[in-house]
Amino acid sequence: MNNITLGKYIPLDSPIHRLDPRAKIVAMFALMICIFIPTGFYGYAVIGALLVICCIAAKLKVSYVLRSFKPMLVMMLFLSVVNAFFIKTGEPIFTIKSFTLYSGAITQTLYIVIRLMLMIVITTLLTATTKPLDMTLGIEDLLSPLQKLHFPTHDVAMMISLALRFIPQLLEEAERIIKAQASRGVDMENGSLKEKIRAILSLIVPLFVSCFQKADDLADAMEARGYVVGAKRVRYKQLKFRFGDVMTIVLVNVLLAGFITAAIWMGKNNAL
Amino acid sequence: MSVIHVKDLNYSYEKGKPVIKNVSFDIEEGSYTTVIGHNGSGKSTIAKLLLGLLEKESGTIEIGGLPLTLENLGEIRNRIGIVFQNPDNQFIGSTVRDDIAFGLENHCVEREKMDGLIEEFAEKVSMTEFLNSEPGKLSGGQKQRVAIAAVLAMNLGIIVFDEATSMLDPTGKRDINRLISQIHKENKLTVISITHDIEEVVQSDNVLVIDHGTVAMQGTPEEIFKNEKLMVRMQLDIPFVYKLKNALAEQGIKLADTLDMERMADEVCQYALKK
Amino acid sequence: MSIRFEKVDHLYSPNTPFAFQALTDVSLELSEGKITAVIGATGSGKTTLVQHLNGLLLPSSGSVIVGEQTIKAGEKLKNTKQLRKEVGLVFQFAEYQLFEETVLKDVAFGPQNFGVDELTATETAKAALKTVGISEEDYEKSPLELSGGQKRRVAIAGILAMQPKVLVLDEPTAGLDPQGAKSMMDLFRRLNREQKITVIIVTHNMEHVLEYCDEVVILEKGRLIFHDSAREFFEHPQFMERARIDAPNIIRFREMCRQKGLELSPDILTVQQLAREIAKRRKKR
Repeated sequence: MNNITLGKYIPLDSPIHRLDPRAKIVAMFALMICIFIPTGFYGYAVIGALLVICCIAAKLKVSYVLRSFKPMLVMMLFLSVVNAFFIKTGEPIFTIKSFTLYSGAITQTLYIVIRLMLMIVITTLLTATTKPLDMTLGIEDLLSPLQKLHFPTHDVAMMISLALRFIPQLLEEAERIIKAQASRGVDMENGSLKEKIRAILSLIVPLFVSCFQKADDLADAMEARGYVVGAKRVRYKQLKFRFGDVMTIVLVNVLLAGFITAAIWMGKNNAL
Repeated sequence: MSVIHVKDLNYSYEKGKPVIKNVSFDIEEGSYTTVIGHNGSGKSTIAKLLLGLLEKESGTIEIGGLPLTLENLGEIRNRIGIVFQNPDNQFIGSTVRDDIAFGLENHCVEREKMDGLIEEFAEKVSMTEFLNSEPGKLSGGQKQRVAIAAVLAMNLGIIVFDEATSMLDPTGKRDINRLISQIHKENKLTVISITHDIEEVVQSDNVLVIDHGTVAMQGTPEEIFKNEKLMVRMQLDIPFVYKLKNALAEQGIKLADTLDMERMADEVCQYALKK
Repeated sequence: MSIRFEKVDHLYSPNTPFAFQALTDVSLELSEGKITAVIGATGSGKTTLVQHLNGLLLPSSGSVIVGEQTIKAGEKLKNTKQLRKEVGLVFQFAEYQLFEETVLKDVAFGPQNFGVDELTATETAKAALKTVGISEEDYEKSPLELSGGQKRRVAIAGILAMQPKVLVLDEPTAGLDPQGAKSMMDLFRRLNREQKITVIIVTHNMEHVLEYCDEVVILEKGRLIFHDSAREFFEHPQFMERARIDAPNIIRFREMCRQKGLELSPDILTVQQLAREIAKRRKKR
């Protein structure tokens, strides 16, 4: 479980860590939109440079960021192969028997791969520098206009934060159950299909039972401390915008505007 | 003055299988009451009924003169709080600070006052240095301390402990028992403790013995333990000093009445060493 | 079956920032056919120690020898199934491992994993359920319908049905009421005496150690600090203090009397014996 980097918080102290989660979420969306605005490789170079600076500012190790690409490797490979076979635009580069590789295939693939990589870096930056709970608070605040439409933003945020709170505990529980069943001779890896199904059941059923038990207990504990679903409460954790947060939002918006202008300008030039 | 008044209380989880049968009792304001009875006797069910976590079938419950009804539920929970058995399953916040804040948030305490309250009560249970710790980093005993701080911070008059020490190691047990009696004295709280720890029962003012969903007996620890027949019939443990007193009585030795082990040792030594 | 630890270290999550050394240089031989208590403060390594006995954990260095099998650091376990069958390990709050539709099926699950056919497994399951005191009318019930204490008994039967030679229990009485705990301990003593099963119990309850256990192993911060007979253990209160454990009442009482000038024999283990001894002392005068 320790090998998964995507989406894991890295407790460090850096200017990026200290940014308000709302500013970071807004920045993430703005950058994502930038990626999808067609500005060619120049645009990607700008975003790439910006992300490198952010990663350094966030004190993230290169190896850590690289590791976050791992889960996507297979998909990128698959895309390259498919593109190589189906894109027939641009100049032909070489031909082996009946297969010809076109330059269009290479540029198209590069576009997609770079986009994917940039997106991964952006999300990694956000999740690695923002505590899960702060993230929920940020999301809750950003969604608060929806309350007018009777969307229960607060309850949703509460659910997410409780889920986050109990994930480590459930993982521990799962490990305990696996060990307990292994002591009864369960072999999760070997055996016939029927045996494997039983082995998995021997993990899942107790885990569910324990989950429901926890949910029951937790509901009692919350109710006893005066929690009522949908009722008014005073939130303890308040997020506060600081100068840096305001600047971040201003900057990404300037960037976004720049990208849009560039795209329009390039579009016109191409048309000419 | 009685702060909890229960009369003819009935409850069943399944139709036709009552677990609480015509239970009536009164609890004095500021007293320390222990509730004993073996597992499945209905002790925890009574605790949940008192907090309105289960809805009673019939009978009355009054907390500080206010009858427990659906409409009064909010006010009732401003008066009575509970610390449960499992330290993990009642830790709601993601840090100690957030967990203590949770109750305050629900009771709509002003935001400006929260920090002060959180720090005050963390101090009271000696958890100040852990304020920003996550529950995974705390021992069971420490988590129970946080649960106690969270209830205390809400400024209630009555706290119920539902086997709050039964999942802790001996150190944690001793710790929490000491903390309970300390807050009982200092904060003039009414404490109701459901327990299997017979030595804790000795320390309390008042004992409620629950058996098969009924109150088998209520009285001071002395009165309860004197009723040896009842204790044996209900398969309840009795304190060491009482066991020894009974065993000595079988040998025809009668010593002065005491509940304290040190004094008992004095008596025994005097008796055995007397010329 | 002999059980020996030779210079065992155990390191959790090695080569990570979370690395934690749970056992350090533990050498120990557990006596066959006895009831041994493993005690120590929370985090002293008790659970880690017992999980080495059936190969759930492997030593980071040193070796564990269980019967004919040697579990060496850095080597793969050769015959895991055989080991897990011979050493039955009951986890803390074991009732959380029940998952089958009926009590009987759940208990028969273990032996079937070791290749016993369904019919024979059901027979052994019935015998195991009888041993732990679950009545026949509960066999076809869902385990979830039973009370907490009964569930725990079913879980223990699930291990007994594997017919282990060694039974290891991690805090088997945690959360039970005193009467339930006592009858649970009685069960382990019966298994030890009647079926000659070696019993190893991780516990915090000194009254149980006093009444039921032959030998005591104490761990402190992952190191073995004491291994001797229970009688020897109760003669040395400093170890109980080090393990942050309250002495049983009778030991405390004996100590109080000794300080007041009345020496009582360390063989006195029950209140009845104590009362008789006091009466005898008086007559001697």
